[in-house]
Amino acid sequence: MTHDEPTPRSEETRLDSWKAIAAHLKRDVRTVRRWETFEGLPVHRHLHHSQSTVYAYTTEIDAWSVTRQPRHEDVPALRRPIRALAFAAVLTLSLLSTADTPFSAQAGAAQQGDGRSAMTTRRVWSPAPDSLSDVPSTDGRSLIYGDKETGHLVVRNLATGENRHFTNKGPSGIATGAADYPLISPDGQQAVYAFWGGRYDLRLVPLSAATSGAPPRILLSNDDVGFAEPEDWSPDGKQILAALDRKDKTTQLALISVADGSVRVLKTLDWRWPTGGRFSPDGRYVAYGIQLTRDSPNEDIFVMATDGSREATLVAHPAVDEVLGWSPDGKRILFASDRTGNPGAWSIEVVEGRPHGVPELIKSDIGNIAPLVGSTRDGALYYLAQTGTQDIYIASLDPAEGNVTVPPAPMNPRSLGGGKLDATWSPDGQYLAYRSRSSSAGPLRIRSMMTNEERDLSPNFRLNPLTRRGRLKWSPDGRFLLAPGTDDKNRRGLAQIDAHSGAVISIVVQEQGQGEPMHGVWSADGKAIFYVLSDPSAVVGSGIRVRDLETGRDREVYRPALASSISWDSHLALSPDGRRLAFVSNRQTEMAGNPANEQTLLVIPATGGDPRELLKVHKRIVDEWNGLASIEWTRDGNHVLYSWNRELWKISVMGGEAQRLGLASTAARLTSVSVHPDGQRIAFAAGDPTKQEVWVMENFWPAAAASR
Amino acid sequence: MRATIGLFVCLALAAAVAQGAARGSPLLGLDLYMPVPEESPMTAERIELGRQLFHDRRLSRDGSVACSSCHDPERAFSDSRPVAVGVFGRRGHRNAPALVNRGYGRAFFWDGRAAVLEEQVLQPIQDENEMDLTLAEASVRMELPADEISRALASYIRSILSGDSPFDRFVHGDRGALSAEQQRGLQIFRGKGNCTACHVGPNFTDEQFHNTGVAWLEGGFSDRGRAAVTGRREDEGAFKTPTLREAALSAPYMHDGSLATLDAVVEFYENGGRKNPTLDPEIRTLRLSEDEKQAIVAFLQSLSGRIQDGVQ
Repeated sequence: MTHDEPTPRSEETRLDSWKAIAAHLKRDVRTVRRWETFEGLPVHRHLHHSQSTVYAYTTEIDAWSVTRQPRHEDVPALRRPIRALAFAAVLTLSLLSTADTPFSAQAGAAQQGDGRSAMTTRRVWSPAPDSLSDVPSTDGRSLIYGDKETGHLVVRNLATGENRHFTNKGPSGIATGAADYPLISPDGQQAVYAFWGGRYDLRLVPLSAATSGAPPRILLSNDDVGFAEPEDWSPDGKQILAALDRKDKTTQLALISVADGSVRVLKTLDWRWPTGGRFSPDGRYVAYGIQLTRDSPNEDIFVMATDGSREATLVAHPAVDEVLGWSPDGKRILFASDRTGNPGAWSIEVVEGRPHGVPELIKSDIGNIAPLVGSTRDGALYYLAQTGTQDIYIASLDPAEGNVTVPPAPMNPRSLGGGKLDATWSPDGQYLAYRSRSSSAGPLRIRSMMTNEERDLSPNFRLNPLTRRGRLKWSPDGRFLLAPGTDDKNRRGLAQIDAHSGAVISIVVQEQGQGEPMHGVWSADGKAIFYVLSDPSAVVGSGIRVRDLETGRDREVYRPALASSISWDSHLALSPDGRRLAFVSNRQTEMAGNPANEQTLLVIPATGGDPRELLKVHKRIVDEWNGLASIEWTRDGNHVLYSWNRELWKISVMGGEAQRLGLASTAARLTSVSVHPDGQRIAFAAGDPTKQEVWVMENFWPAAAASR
Repeated sequence: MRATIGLFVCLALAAAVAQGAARGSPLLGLDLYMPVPEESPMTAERIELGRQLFHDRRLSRDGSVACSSCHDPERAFSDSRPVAVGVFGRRGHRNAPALVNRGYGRAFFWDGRAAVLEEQVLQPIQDENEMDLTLAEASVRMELPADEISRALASYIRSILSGDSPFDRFVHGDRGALSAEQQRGLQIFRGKGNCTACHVGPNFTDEQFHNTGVAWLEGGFSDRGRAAVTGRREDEGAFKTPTLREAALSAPYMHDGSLATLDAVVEFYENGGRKNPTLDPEIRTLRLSEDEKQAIVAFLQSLSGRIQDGVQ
């Protein structure tokens, strides 16, 4: 298998080895390999069955050299080594520190080659809260975001650091729904946002509502629109560019009138979701990115006239290219691209909605960033930088006692970060399948534990980026992986993925108006799967079913008691003999006047029947990362393992006191526990991928482009 | 040089303005953007020329047929016969599909052998079972270069639109636009019926190719469909998903016109299509009740709206 190879350009010289790359840069091989690892030196790879070969283009190398910042040659590594304290009963998992940002931890200042004013990067807000929604926006003075804990919108004054909560305040101050994807209007007077209150709609609220209490106005509420994500305000403040998720699962790029909420659909995009839609400063065009095909992570960028009269391909490259924003003069577009192997910031000239010239590298190695909408209007780029990470660790167990005997070590200390999650052993124990958050690393990777070789699968099935809808599960014969995700027609459900070819067959698909299938596990004979079906609102698990794979028929094996549901975090675990299912039931309650969950670890016969309670705990709802999670059986079927409060525990299926396994994390959650078939090893994911900071990059445009 | 560029920009802007004016506002339910090749802008003059060519029988060898002979404007630009009948009464192999909203298409003909309308419109002229002229002959007869015939016909076909149907009004908030039965049909269409596995978006087509088994007869494919273009085994018997806009007007159905009514089409899918080695995995037995089948047909009838063609 090979990665997509960039199309060679005639003026380029290709360097086909580390030695050639080192000679070109007049450095030794060790140095350039370090630069590739830590500074984004653009080196490409052919991945072969047993090894990889490298190559590079001189133009890309030279461009990197020009923009390269002096980095921390004295900093040992982006990823600090794990301190395995063999003598300690409790381990501390040392994770990536927040100082290790995609850019320099020092406020970076780069002298540009042509003597222009120096590009700078500086941290604006650190640490940004975990509850910060995925897509905040800013006008350079304020930052607005949806708070995932409370559902409120929050406006943060970037100069003073003052936060103001507003919208959705009920009598008790508890949100009556959840607000997200907020965008500040160009005049800074109001915000548009998506609101979930049993269904999605788009709302407008004046920013003065934080003090005046002015109610929001519903801008778009349509039964045929399942979800609407505002992408950008038109510069005149009269229209909202939005992505719409229609009930037939197709997506549309649409203009919504701020005056009356009327919708004009610019373009229907079948089942693909557009990214980074941005108005040009004159309002005549919108730029957006989109996957070319559903079975490839690669995205290209397009520019469309807002009157619908034409569209042009702006950036076409076998890479993930995503819009970051327009230059203030509207003559260039800034975009992120991983065409060199690592994400970099590039720009390209735009004339009358069409590309002009070739992309120029602005900044290499920008890391995994999410641009804040609206931030480039004044020539700066505000962005969220993920500073946390998650990795997979392997520890040894005493099968008799179930205690950790050899402390955990990261599975692959040389691999780059990006958040790995959900590792699972194959039935013969020779392979470990895991998922990565990094799009460039492929969505699914299988590692041979004998040779350490890794191969990527790119199934035409979008794996859920989190494990809250289930984990990877090998079929008993080791031929397939069962996974939760979204198929090529935007239908959520469970699919089996061929572990060799990546071919996908949907097994259970969510039907219109029905709940979402999730948390699938194979039966012991591989002829059926057990899964959790959510309620139609996809908020809680409402039952456990078993699907006969030959007949396609379902049977319910468990339905939660009234006011209870099945936990999304805990997963569903089948005992090694295939006769019992373990899972966690949730019931809403209160702790000291705050909303809380009562969580009960239950075991039921796989054929259905009354549950047996093993354990009951309480947690605050907002304490999202510390509930009962990662249910797994020991190989002898005598105990159930689970993580609780950042620590791994076991409890006998006969009942009794829970016992610590001697595996804890001071700073991170333990999740995705998988016990090796020999019962002597355990794999798990640990870390906190939600850590993030807000940064700003300035003075990166050419002088002309920076003016309006 | 600068003057040349300026002239080019002016011409491009003029073309764009003319294009917008010629197309008018899209009907309710249709995208604002329609892909139009830059070298073939839609001007009012070109659309009108295309309309005249579309109805002109001189484009056939014996002067007996025009494009409109098989794409009848009264039937949503489709044909009431199972397969097209061309010059000298020659019969074609496939049904002439409805031409509404083809400007939004991404592949043309049932097998997708044409990538753009400019390419598509010339093929029936040259097909011996349809109009049977060489392009040189057509050019002489019409006193137009072949590429202008192509652009004019393509521009006219792009102007043929269907929208503003009861369904469109319903999804834009008019909850009374569909009857209760039609609303139930819509729900089945998107749910239990699994129709939206292929019939999606404003035009109710994914513009992809699927083997539903229509071509599987007596243990073999009577028509290779998409495979005749790609040569791939998995494309055997696969045909492009047609639009369902104006479905009530465009009988008979399927690539061979073998199903006479919408009821017959629903019954065909109720039975899981026709089993064959490369049947699309989305096609499966539906287990619909009679009421549910009727509801789907009622919903399909709600896709008949306002048809417009030519310069608006």
